[in-house]
Amino acid sequence: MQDLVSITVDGQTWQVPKGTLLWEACKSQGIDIPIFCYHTKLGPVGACRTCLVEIEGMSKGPTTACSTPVADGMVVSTRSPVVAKAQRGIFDFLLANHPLDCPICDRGGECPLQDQSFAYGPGTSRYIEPKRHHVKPIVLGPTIALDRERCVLCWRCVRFTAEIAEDKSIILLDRGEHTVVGTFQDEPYVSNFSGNVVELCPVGALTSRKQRFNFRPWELQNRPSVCPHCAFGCNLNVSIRKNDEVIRFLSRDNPEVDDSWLCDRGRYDYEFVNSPDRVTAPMLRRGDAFVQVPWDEAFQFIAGRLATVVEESGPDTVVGVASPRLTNEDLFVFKRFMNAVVGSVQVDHFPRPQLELAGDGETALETLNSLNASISSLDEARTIVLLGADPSLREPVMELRLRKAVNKHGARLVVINSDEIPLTGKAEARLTYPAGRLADMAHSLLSSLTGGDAPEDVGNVVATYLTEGPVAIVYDDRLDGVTDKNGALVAIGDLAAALGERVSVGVLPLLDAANSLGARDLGVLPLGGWGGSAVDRLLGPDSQVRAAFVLGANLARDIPAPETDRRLEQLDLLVVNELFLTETARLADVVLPAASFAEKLGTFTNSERRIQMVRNIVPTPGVARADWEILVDLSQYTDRPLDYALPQQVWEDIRRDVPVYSSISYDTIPPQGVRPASLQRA
Amino acid sequence: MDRILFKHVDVPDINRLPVYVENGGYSGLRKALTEMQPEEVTQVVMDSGLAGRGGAAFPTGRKWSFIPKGVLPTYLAVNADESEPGAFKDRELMERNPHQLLEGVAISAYAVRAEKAFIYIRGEFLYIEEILNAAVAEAYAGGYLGTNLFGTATSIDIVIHRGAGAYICGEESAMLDSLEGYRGFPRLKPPFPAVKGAYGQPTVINNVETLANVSHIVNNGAEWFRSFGTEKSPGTKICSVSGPVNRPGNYEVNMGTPFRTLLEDMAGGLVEGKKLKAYIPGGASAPMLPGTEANMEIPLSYEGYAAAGSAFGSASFIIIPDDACIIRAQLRISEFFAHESCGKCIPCREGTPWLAKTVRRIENGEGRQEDLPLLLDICDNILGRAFCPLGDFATSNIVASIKYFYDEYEQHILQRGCPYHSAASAVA
Repeated sequence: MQDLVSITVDGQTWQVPKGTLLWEACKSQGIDIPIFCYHTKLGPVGACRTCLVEIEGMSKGPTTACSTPVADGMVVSTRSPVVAKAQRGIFDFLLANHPLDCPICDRGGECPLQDQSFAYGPGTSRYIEPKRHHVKPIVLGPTIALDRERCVLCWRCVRFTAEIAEDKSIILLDRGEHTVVGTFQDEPYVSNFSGNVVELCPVGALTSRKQRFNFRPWELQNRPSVCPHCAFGCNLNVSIRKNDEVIRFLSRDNPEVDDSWLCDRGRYDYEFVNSPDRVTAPMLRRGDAFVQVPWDEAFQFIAGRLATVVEESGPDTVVGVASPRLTNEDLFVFKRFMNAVVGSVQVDHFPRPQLELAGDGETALETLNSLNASISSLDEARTIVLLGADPSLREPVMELRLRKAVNKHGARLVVINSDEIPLTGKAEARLTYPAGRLADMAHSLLSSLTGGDAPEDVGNVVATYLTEGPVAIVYDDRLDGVTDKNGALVAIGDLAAALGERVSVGVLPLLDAANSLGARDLGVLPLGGWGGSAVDRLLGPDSQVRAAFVLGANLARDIPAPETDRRLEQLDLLVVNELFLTETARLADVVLPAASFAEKLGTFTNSERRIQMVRNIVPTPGVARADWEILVDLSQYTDRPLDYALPQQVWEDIRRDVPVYSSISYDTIPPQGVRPASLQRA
Repeated sequence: MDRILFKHVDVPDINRLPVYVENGGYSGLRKALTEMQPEEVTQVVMDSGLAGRGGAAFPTGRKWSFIPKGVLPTYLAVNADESEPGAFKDRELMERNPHQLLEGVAISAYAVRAEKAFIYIRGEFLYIEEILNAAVAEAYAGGYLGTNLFGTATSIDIVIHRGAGAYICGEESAMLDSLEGYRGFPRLKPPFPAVKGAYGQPTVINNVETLANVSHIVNNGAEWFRSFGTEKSPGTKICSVSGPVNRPGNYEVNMGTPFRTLLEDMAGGLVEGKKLKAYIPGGASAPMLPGTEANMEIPLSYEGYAAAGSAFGSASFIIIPDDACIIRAQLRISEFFAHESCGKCIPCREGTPWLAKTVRRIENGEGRQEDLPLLLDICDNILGRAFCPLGDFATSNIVASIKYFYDEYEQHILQRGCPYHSAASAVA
């Protein structure tokens, strides 16, 4: 229980945790205090002076609410004549040199300077001197343009690069009224996280080069969603225009996951949704070309060919491969379609780690799965071990989370990698191993932990960092470049298990795609489980496969070989559900137009097994439909039709089928998603 | 005249260690380290009533007592960033008797259990850095700095660091930023430097002149020190006098001495043909006072100038003669503050250039009647609203000059130009 103190603001008295900043305390009570420099996710700086309030007993006059912690019995006025005068004065200063080019400014309409000037500032300016001018815009880097005239020098971008991303790229140059935001020696601002500074900017000074002048904020509506680009599962607001155009992605703060940050890949890769190149109608191959056909004709064609293949060669000559970027609902219906409608057990998801696991490998995976930690548990870890994992590359926002764990919560970061990674410099200890030899390293760690032989540096790391919990282990599930993938996985699993007997341990995997863990939980795996591979079965040299359903997986691109194309071309039936005419789709007999993540209701399971919803935000192009809907419709052309009309019906079947999801219903998934009850810590 | 700090200033080669030691130098350090506990040193300084000579006059011993016990290392940082327009006292203290400062620094470091002291010198003081470096080298060689001083367990190192030249770096927390290699910006307080200062450690920051007093207090005792000056302002003060006087320079006075003595007896009065129109007692940040008879008799002390509505500050007296234009003088001051504003906070960053531009317009004959209330209102919007005192400092002389010389402003506005510089009022 936190200590509470009692404060009185504008006549209201309530209790807040001791140490809360006065500005935060007022905000939580709905009391508005204007602010520019302060931001909840950044430390106080006290530079803008707009949050001046009067505190009884403070002889020095108004003080800044952003930097003053509450004290018991504090009596505050945010509306007194002295405060009102101070606020007017500050806004008078703020607008003195501001260009007031609101009609052409990207921020106009959602601009804190506009809103707060209107609420707290003087109606007119007394400033008659020539305004400051700067060359504009300045190209700050590949993604960001800077208008120095609009800048109010709130330090948010500076503090983001100093405190959060820690690249210290954006700095203040020159002095006094000549102070400007810039970079050292005009070097370009290049960062995985550059877009965050645009969102942090409280005026139109930092704009996205990709988006500037493309829209007016009042044309837009924001709809909640989840980033489809990796398994970290950052929350999004998708801004749309006229109900059918995706204009931008904004962050949507989920303190448990993204902490309000997005990476640039997540933020800027959205144009595919509205791309004119989307597949908009079913297409049948006629010779070398595709022709658009009605759904009915496409389904009749598929059902006919499928029946022939199954009758002649049996259902196991039909395989299905789905992308882990699809929703749980898509994947579940896909699996059911293959199993129950086609009668084939040859389903798989791609890409995924290709492992030939013996019994102990399955056990290792189960161990790692059972130790699945929450992302926010990184905040409580005494030690965080990156074991052959580079989050900056795979799940970039995790990098910011790790930096915060070290900076704010005192976690000790141990980087064990064959290469330098961006977080190497943040590590308190590091171990390296020859490229590919992750298994040996994991064995050494295990050996040292259990009292066996190990090199001295490994022993030191184990003794110093792994003897005190909680320990969080982040490993890379894809095991790219690792020579003995199975061995490495088994060793990591054994290490985690052995650690778990000594200290509290949590494991976070880096996964292939937004819903890789969902695909696993749903068991979208072939006969033989992890050891099998429907893709190998499809593309292998002695392949007996005659028909394939490929949903969103681009085999021809990701397994580049002449053999791949030849095998796919030779199939009697290749059905591809896609957004685009991909390398794989071009080889298909039938291409079916699929809905993107922004065009369907469904769920993703992120790498901490948080179930989050994506929503129907814009209409699909043409007659495109969600993958699961396409398969349900197609099943009506067979003698074993599926009976789903709504995604929640699919989800109810998922709950029955997948025990770990049984506690979650659509109605109970909050805006920030939810982890299964069985995983939530007390 | 009684002198403490300038007592030996005219001894030839006093800047050399042997001469300094011959004249009793480093006996205070020896006494402190071999006969006194750190707390006793703090106590005697507290008892002496020595107050910060940088301008704020905060009691020195009390400042030291804020250092938390047992949080090591602690640091002593010496503010030698003397940048206040009108101030040039620290410069002379360092130039002419560097060991007196080093001895004070070493004793003070001992008092706060700091094994390392930094002397942060103004960027422009390159030649003083050289003097100090030579003195520090001599002190190390002579066994007055370094490890196990006088056979005790006490070690004291002094690091000389020269800034890059910015007024704001005289603000103590900005000085620490600059010392650490960052751009000098004032820091958010709390935490105060005594708790979290240089490199995140407890740090005492004192002015050069303050610390130069310490060896004398340790040697002679608190009562002796209190025999100088007034009850509220014990000791002496070095006053810098600049402007059209016969003998501009630094003068050490007993606190409480009337200003008239400083101006007329010590500085030799104004040069022939000029009369006193106004003077600024404490550097550009202290409000100017008109040259009235009453203002001639103000006792040179913190309380004396506070009572007169100004500030003794760093005791930097800028003499403004009757043939000088007050608006032009004000313009120099306002442009100084606009130029030196660090840019961190909005009121100072936007307000100080606005003041300067408006004063310039008035001096150039483009003033409007509404500019005077505007100037005062801009000051009102800066004063107490800015992040650090620099903003407040920028307002004091605007307010004072309009208060005392309203007619002169009005004359500029009505006559559309400067009566003192009729040649176009072209302020270069």
